[in-house]
Amino acid sequence: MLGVRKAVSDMDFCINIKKIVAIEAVNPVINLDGHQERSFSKAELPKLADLKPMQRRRLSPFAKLAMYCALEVTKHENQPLVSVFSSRHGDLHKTSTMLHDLALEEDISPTAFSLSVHNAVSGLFTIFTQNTQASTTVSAGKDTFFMALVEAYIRLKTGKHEQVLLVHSDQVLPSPYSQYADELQVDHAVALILTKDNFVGQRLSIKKYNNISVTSDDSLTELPQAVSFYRWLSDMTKPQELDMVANQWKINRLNNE
Amino acid sequence: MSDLKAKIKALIIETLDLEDVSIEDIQDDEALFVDGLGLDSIDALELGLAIKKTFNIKIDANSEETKKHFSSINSLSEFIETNQ
Repeated sequence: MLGVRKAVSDMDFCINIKKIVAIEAVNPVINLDGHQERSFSKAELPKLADLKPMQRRRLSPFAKLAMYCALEVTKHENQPLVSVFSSRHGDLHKTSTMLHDLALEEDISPTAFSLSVHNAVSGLFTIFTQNTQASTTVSAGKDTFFMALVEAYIRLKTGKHEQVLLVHSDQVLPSPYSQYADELQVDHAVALILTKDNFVGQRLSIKKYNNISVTSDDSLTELPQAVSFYRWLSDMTKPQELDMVANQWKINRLNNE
Repeated sequence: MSDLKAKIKALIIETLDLEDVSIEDIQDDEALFVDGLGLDSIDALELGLAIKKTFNIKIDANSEETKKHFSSINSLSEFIETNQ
C-alpha cells in the first residue's frame, strides 16, 4: 500500500539569545567588477591580545574574525560550551590561494593545508579554550546562518546542555570568485549564546516559509543573513518583526515567558 | 653573524609569522623546535618548503639526518652551504 506523503512542514521554532557579539567591516570599496564590498584592512582586524603569540600567528583574517567573537561572547562563561560554527564559504581566501598554487604545480603551504578544513576555527577555538565539548560546523548556502540556528536549537532540544555557542563568519569573496557574488560582500562574524532558559535574554520566534517563490532583482545589495539579523536584534528601535523576504525567513521578538 | 645565518633567521620569522621575534632574538646554537624557539612539526614542514624554494635544495623529509640539520641555525646553515 502506498502511504500518503506528508507535505514537508515549514520550520517554526523559538530560541532564547543570552548574549551576542558581532564585528562587521563598514568602509565600502568598489571591487574590480564595479560592485561595492566591505572588507577589513589588516590593521583593522581584531588584535586578540589575550592569545599567546604562538597561538595567534597562524590565524588568518577569517579565523581572527570568528575567534574574536567566540572569545568575546564566552568571556564570562564558567563552563565550556557545546558549539556550532558556521560559514557559507569558509576560509575561501586560504583555499583559493592553495588552489592557485596547485594549478601552477607549486608546493602548497603545509600550514595553510593543515588549517584548510571547514572546522579549522572550531578546532583552534576549542584547543585554545581547552573545551572538549562537542562541536559541529555548518554550511548551507545563503541560508547558512539560519541553518546554524536550527542546528543550535536541535542541540538544546535533544541534548542535556543548557547553553550552546554559535559562531558564524564570512568574508568578501576572493577576486577569482567575485563574479559569483549573489549578496552584498561584507567581512563579518557573529557569535551568540543560546540558552534553554526562557527567562534570560531575548526570546525569538523563527519561521521559514518555503512555498512562496521570490525573486530579488537587487541581490547584490542584499545583506548577508547574519548581518541583517545582528543589526535588527541589537537595535530595539527596529520593528518587532524582521521579514527577510528574499531568503524567506521571518523572525519575531517575543516577550520572555 | 654570517649573511647566510641572518638570511635563514629572516626566512624563519617571515615564513612562520613570528610577529614578536626579531633576528637578534634567535641564537645560532639554540634549539629551533620544541625547546628554544618553540617551533612545531607543521613549522618544520613549512620551513622545509621555504628552504627548498629559497635555496633550491632537496630535503628528504623522512631522513634522520634531516632532523639534525634542522636542530639549530648553525646546523641549518652548514647544511645549506654544503648542499647548494
